[in-house]
Amino acid sequence: MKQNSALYTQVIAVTEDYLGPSAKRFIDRQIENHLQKKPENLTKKDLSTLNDWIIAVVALLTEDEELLAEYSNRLESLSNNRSSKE
Amino acid sequence: MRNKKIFWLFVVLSLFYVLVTLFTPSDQSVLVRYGVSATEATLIELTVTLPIVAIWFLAYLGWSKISEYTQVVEPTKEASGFQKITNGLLAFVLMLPINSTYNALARSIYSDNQSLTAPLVIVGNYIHIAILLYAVIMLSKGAFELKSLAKKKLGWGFTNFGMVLLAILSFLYVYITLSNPYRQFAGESGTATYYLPDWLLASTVIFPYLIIFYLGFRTVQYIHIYKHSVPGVIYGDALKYIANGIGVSLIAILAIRYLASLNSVFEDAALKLVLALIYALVVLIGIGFWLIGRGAKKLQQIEEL
Repeated sequence: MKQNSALYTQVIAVTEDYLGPSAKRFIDRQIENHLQKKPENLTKKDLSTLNDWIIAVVALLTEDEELLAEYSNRLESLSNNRSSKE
Repeated sequence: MRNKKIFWLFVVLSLFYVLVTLFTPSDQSVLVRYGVSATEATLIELTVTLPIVAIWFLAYLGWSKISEYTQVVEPTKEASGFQKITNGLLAFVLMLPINSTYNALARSIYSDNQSLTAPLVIVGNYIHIAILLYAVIMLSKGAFELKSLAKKKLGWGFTNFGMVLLAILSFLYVYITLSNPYRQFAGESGTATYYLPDWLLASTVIFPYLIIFYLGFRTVQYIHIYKHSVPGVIYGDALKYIANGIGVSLIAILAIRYLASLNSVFEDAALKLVLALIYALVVLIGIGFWLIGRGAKKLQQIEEL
């Protein structure tokens, strides 16, 4: 559970660089609405689906494709991060 | 619910303002000053009145967007700051129809009863000061709370350059106001600007305006510190619109104060120039609130998508 929670924290940390103080609320909403689970229970398996949803939603907020690609890559790289095991 | 009530208040004030403008006979001294007939004067007034009312509604829309956003972020730590900013902006937005309606109504009263001119002008000036003061106090308190959430501080140059600029503008305001020959007594045509002796003018009009200028300036500074220190490229982008919108609206509203002090210049100025200045400032207020609305809508989307 602790490791899952670490993954969740990392997703929020990355998102803060784009959505600032709204990041936690935004991520909580995406996990609860699209993955139908509690945010703390986020696992590596969920990351790919979550990434797709996040990018689809953030695309409605900005037209900057480079920014979207960068954000998507950073979220994707969390899957390969050793500190956040499945 | 609250937004709906404000909307209807706006509708009532706007209708009242248009009706008062249409049915009030133009001031004879103004007709003589600009060499126009009563019908021409009414038509000219309509070309100003209708766009002004449109801008009021643009301002209302901008305010309603930030009000909706404030309700969405109610449980967060930014909420208190945004709530105060929303209240301050509401005072600004309401000030537009309240002042114009009061002035139009006052003009219609004192055109028939000259002895009421001075008290009506004095009360109008104090209403304006009271609303502006409340607005900038709320705005600066809200902006200060947001700035307190930020870790970054302003650079020496930005802070002090701003202060020097504020000092120069304040000095100019005091100078222009006190050198206005029609500040206490009306000229051959028109009304006086304040109808107050200098000591009362300095202590109850100029001094509050200097506080308003200072707090307005600090509001813009605080909100820019918050904008520059808060993380989030997309969030910062939306916030930039709000910060710039507040800055533009404040500058335009305070510039109107400057124009009021320049009453004496208008005595000889061409009508076209006076109208152009009024249009430009009113449009600037509209642009400011449009920016606020656009930024608030973006922030709201972040919270709702």
